[in-house]
Amino acid sequence: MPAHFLGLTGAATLGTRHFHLTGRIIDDLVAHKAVGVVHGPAGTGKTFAVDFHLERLRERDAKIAACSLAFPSEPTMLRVAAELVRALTGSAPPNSRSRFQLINTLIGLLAGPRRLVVVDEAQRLNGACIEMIRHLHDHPQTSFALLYVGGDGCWEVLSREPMLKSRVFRRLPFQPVPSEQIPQLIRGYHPIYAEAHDALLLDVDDSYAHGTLRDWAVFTHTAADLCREAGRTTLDKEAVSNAYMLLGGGA
Amino acid sequence: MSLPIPGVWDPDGYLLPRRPRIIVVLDEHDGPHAAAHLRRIGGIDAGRVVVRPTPAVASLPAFALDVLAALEKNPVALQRKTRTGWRHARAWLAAARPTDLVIDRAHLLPYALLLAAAHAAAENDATLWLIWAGATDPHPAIAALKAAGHETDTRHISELPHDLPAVPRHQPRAAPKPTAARPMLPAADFPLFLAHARRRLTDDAFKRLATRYGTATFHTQQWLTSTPAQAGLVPGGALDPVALIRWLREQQIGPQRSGYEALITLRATQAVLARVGILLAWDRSGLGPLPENRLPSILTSPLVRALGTLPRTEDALATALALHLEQDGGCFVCWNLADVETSTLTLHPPAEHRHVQPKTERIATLPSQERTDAAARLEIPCRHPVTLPTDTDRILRAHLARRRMDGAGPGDPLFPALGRLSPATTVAQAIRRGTRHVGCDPWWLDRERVRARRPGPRLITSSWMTERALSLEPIPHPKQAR
Amino acid sequence: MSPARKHGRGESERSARRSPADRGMVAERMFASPISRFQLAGLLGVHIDDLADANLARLPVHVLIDLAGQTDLHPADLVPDLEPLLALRRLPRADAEQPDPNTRHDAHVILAALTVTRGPLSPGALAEALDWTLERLHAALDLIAAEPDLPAPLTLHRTPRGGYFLAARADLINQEQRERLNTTADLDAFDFPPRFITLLAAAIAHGRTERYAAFKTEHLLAHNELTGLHLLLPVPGEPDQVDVHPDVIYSLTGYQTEDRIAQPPHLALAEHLRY
Repeated sequence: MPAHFLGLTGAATLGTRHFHLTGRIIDDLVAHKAVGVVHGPAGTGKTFAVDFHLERLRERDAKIAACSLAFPSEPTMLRVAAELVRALTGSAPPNSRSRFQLINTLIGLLAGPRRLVVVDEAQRLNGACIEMIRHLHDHPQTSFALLYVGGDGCWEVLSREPMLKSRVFRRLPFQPVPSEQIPQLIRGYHPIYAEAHDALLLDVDDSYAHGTLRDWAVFTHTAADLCREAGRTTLDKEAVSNAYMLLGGGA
Repeated sequence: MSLPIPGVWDPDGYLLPRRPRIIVVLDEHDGPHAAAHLRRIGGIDAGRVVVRPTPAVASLPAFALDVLAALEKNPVALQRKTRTGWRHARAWLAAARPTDLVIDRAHLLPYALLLAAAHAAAENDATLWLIWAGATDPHPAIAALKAAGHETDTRHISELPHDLPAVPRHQPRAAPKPTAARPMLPAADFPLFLAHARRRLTDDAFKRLATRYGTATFHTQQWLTSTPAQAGLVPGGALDPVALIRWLREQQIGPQRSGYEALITLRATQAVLARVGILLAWDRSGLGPLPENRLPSILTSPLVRALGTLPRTEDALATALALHLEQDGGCFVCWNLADVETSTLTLHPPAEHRHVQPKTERIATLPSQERTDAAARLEIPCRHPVTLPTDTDRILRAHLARRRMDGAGPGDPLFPALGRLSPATTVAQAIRRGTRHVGCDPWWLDRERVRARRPGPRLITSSWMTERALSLEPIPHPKQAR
Repeated sequence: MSPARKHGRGESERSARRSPADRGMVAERMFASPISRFQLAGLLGVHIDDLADANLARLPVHVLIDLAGQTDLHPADLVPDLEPLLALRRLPRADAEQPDPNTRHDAHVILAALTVTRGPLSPGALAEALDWTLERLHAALDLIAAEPDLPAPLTLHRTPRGGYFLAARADLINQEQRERLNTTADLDAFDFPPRFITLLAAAIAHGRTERYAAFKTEHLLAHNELTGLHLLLPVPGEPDQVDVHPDVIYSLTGYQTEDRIAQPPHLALAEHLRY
């Protein structure tokens, strides 16, 4: 199971609708060797959901090899190719490799066992990178499923490329959790919320988290520590107030 | 850039002007259907070559690699872009004889590469399909092609399945029914082989053997009674051993697919030849535990296919010849283009020879009382016709096309010298590359091993016959009783 | 000389680290094997003086298998690089079967038979002596090769003076088989030289006529050898006439006949040889 944000302990995995749909999408992509996109604002739980279901995939079927890659900045096509080689083989390709050799090495690697390739932060890819990945996916000798995961503006960037938009088989936009769903959802997230008042939870969401699960994780990490130090098992106003101060003042 | 309209070589060697049919297939949505359909239209065997250019390809040498990959060359062997890469690509394309040359993602290619593709299609009288995806305006490219003298048609992607139909998926050959393992064959020499087989095999096994034995007997008798010229009979009734060796290699024993088949064929052949006074002797003692497995040719169909994945035509052809004849290529330098008969895959003896003469080249004719000299078993391949197996035709055509593209004429060598290297060294290096590519390591290519096995001045040290420990000897005519 | 050059192209570090004593032991075992040094050099593709230092890692697999089998050496002794690979587990075999119990019995019969023969026998000679098909014989030989610890069918006997010796179990091979094991000519490895073919053809055509005497005189060595192999059979009362073994007639002409009366095939053979 993927770790919660900052190693938060005691937290449960929130079974939101999007969380479950991510699992369904991954299964569908693998079954059909298709292309999918999971996107949405930062902190809405995309990466956690994808990581969770990748782990589940690995445990369920050892024959499916899944690999993930991400890029810290706008990569070149060759950089993407080299990182993909590294993700598939565990080592970087020789520097002397030409583009032709690199691409054909990837074709050879992706022709093997069933695979799922996950490209995170996909909004950083330019048209050349997307075309290169398309070339690999469309090649008659390759056989792999492809999942793009990205944050703000990801779908806008990807959908500008007709060759990608026309090939997307599954797409799941993540959104912040609507406020009306917060109390019921968050109560199951951590023990300190089990007995907390709805109003308190809504206040935290309204002032700090705004439906973003990562922000709830940050808040929970802080609030749980405060409750533990104060010998409390349930979140209360004082804990909330103190947490706000530690987190930069709230709303 | 503009290129002259290329021509097509007619059988007499004249260049005929051709204009290719160019079809620009518009796919404005850039959907997955084009790629899916291109997977279904078959490959070289169906007369279609589908090029999927590496993204961002910009130069002709780089594009050549993509074309070679489309022609089933192993990308691992395509190490780097070379000046001559495009010529190799054109040569292999000519050998493939495509009816359709498809360039996927053509909208991403520079005009120079589109023109090169048009040129290559024209050379082969093939239709050029340019899959034009996305919103990029094709008209500038069409105008560039027109400026170079090419006319184009346009189609919509929805019409592609009709215009370039899918071919039925090739059904893999059904796996052979599991049968009992092939019986061991008697080890007895031919004067006892059939009798031992009859006694020591099960009835079914002997029936199968007898059928094959009978076929081989028939073929041998047929060859012996064929026209004197074919049988190599010379005045006086002597049999030309070279013709016999050639027949054994290219028709009777070489093409057998297994040691089992080859051994039965050999025994039948020996029995018939004995009746005309020829002993085809087989010294099995040095051939290992299953000597019959050494009888068939090592140039098998899978090996020919593997050679076909080499990008350099000279490597593929020289290696095919070397493995067919089981000799290094010392004599290959003699052949000129005019000596090649493409229709029969035969290389005929040249008018003049350029090979280094071995010390002994005497080949006795049979039958005679004189024992054939050991060196007489060593073929000089350029001295008589050599016919390659039928599945090497593409390799031969590719190399001939390549030589013509180099500007070679009928009187020019089949294997020219490369740079400052001598022709013989060029051929030797080509064979070394080729054998390494297919994982073959014949001892006769390695000088150290040659010296170890055949000390002394370096002659032609191996041949198809010697590698099988086969030899021809006359059976002495017994003196009549007085 | 650099280590790479000294140890030859392609030799790995593991092989290169073998001590001279190790190399010596392997060489010793190779030289003690039944094949001659010349045959060994031919098998390895080296000069006879270079046998001890031959780079075995370059050998084709089938030669390595043959060499290991001939010398009873573990493959990793020949090529140390194989050591870690031979420890890998094999895939489970889908068609793994237990050998036929009859084959196991046949294996014991062969072991017993080989203890009573005077020397090595080819599979063909064994099959002739035991009157088995080659398939049956090789199934049993394969089992023996696969189970080198198969118990040998021997019984312990005492001499009158108290000494011990081993002998094959008497119940496994009958008297007829025992006689054939020691008298059947082993023709599997016999390659007929041209002069033998000549004499056989002459015998087929003229063996029962007065003309054969001249052939016999001219090719006496061949005649004696073929007679010793029981391929030329004496005619009772006619010292200068012979019959040719039906196996030879059949194998050379495809005709089966026990009757020596001249038949067209015999004359046809003579015609073909242009007598």
